[in-house]
Amino acid sequence: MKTLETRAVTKIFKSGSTEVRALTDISLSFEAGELTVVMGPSGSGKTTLLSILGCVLSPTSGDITILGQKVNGLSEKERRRLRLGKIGFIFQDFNLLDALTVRENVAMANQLRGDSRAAGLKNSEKLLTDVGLCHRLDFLPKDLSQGEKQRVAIARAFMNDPNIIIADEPTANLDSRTGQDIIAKIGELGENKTTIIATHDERITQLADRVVRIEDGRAVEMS
Amino acid sequence: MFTLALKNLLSEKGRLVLGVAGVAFANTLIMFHVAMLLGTFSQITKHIEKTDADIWVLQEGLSDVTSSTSFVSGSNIEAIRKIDGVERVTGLFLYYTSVKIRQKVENVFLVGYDSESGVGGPWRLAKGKSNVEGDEIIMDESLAKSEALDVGDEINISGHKLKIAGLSKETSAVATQYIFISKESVLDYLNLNNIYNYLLVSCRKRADIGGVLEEINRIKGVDAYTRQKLAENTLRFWGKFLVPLLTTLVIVSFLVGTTVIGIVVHNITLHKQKEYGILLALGASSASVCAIVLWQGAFVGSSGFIGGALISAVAIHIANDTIPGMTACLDHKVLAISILLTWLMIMFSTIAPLARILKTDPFEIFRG
Ligand SMILES: Nc1ncnc2c1ncn2[C@@H]1O[C@H](COP(=O)(O)OP(=O)(O)OP(=O)(O)O)[C@@H](O)[C@H]1O
Ligand SMILES: [Mg+2]
Repeated sequence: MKTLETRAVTKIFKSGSTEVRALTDISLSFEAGELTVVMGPSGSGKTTLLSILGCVLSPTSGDITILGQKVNGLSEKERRRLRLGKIGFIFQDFNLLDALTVRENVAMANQLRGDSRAAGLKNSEKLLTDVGLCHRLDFLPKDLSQGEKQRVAIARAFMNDPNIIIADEPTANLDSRTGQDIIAKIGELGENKTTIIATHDERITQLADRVVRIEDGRAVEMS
Repeated sequence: MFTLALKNLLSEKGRLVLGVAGVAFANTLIMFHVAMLLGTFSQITKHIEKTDADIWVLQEGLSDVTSSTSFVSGSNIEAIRKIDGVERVTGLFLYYTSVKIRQKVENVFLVGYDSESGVGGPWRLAKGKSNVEGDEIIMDESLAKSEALDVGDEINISGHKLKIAGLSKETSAVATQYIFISKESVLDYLNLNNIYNYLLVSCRKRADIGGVLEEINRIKGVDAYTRQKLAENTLRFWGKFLVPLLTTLVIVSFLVGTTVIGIVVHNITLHKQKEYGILLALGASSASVCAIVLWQGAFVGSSGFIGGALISAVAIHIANDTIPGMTACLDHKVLAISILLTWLMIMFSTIAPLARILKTDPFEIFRG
């Protein structure tokens, strides 16, 4: 099943009088149950592409369709609702909330969608057990290792059972062994989901169903 | 969301303490001043309200007891007594004057009242006799305290030796205290002949008041008012001074409080700006983020309010005890004003940081 599709997506950033063409004419489609790795040199446009796929950024031209819904014309409010329910995000620098415990950080995803705190906390336990953190439930992020922090972020991304997982360089701050574990975990939990991971790490491609290479803002399919 | 708000605050203890202290300070300013002014205000007409007379008769043209001194001839007493429904008419002296008590000059309200009936005399006693005889006086408790005087002591007023027979409560208005004395003594000291400041009229039945009032007003040279009307008029006169004063104080305190909460909430909020950005990137609604920031403001505001109320209660207690004539009262009116202002402060102070947060571009979070 096709979950995500771009057609002739171009993104041009304007800063002052200069224009930066970050993406040019990208047409890609993504299936459920597929793990896609997006590779490319620094500045090639990976983050820009993932932001557009994740409904965080609007393209300058071209169409995006998510789960059959065209998202070009959506308001910021509608985009937020779409992100909250359908898309799980994993960031390079984890982006956990410092004041909340592991369990509360993960529960927050549920709470943002209107669930009670108690329900959120309860749901978070299962996912945290899945990512191997059942012994760290009440830790604060500052007391976790980098790998553990990323696993909290993974649990959070999966909390609302999204259709799409978007991860921008989730292993950049981790050693290679931990990085491999993290990608394996994302793959395992996202078995039936559309998972898109941007990375510099060649080794991750071994775990991918598909590799898309971005060069100078253009996509080259590697398969 | 409340948990996140609370934990965000607790993770910034220094800022939190500063914020709560600031709000407590602003609330103390508001509560103390409002309590003091309202307390004082309520004392101004206490004498009128507590006097056992339905109608006050004033010099023609006057309508309150403060703006000008009233003189009424005692010859009217007989005329009024003849009016149907009148039970009793007594003369009263009530005038603002300086008296030399020991070596100090004090400004007081000297009340010369009808000691036989007690009308116009003290209504609440702290100590001693409730009524004067001959050369006795009853003096406000706080005035006595500040002069280190007590029941049985003698003082000299205008060359007359007087003995303190009792001490009264609730007899201090706008930092001026009352001294009660018999009207005969005043007539004697001032060398007056059948002249009073006011005449006090009691009616047989409540229903008679209207008719009696009308009849008295027919008499030349006097104007009569019911007790309530006179109190109202007098308050209105004072309101001209007190209301602007009160308003200024409240506005200044309000601005101080708003600024302090504003700085603190702004600080705490913007320090966590990235985290709010993360929530927005994950898909949080504006309402959720607003709720968090408002909860923070509410927590700082409420804690500060409670702190301010406690400090004010203690400060008011101490002030009432030590400052002569201080009659501040931390009642529901003062608390209601403070709660309202605290909420307004929270609203005003959270708008700016909220607006800034909601403008966060989630793409910035994505790019790290
Ligand atoms: N807000 C912006 N304003 C101007 N230019 C931008 C903006 N965001 C990105 N760019 C430019 O767009 C291009 C693509 O950036 P992007 O962050 O997508 O690259 P990337 O492949 O993710 O790089 P890296 O591997 O270093 O993360 C870069 O040249 C970048 O400078
Ligand atoms: Mg990038």
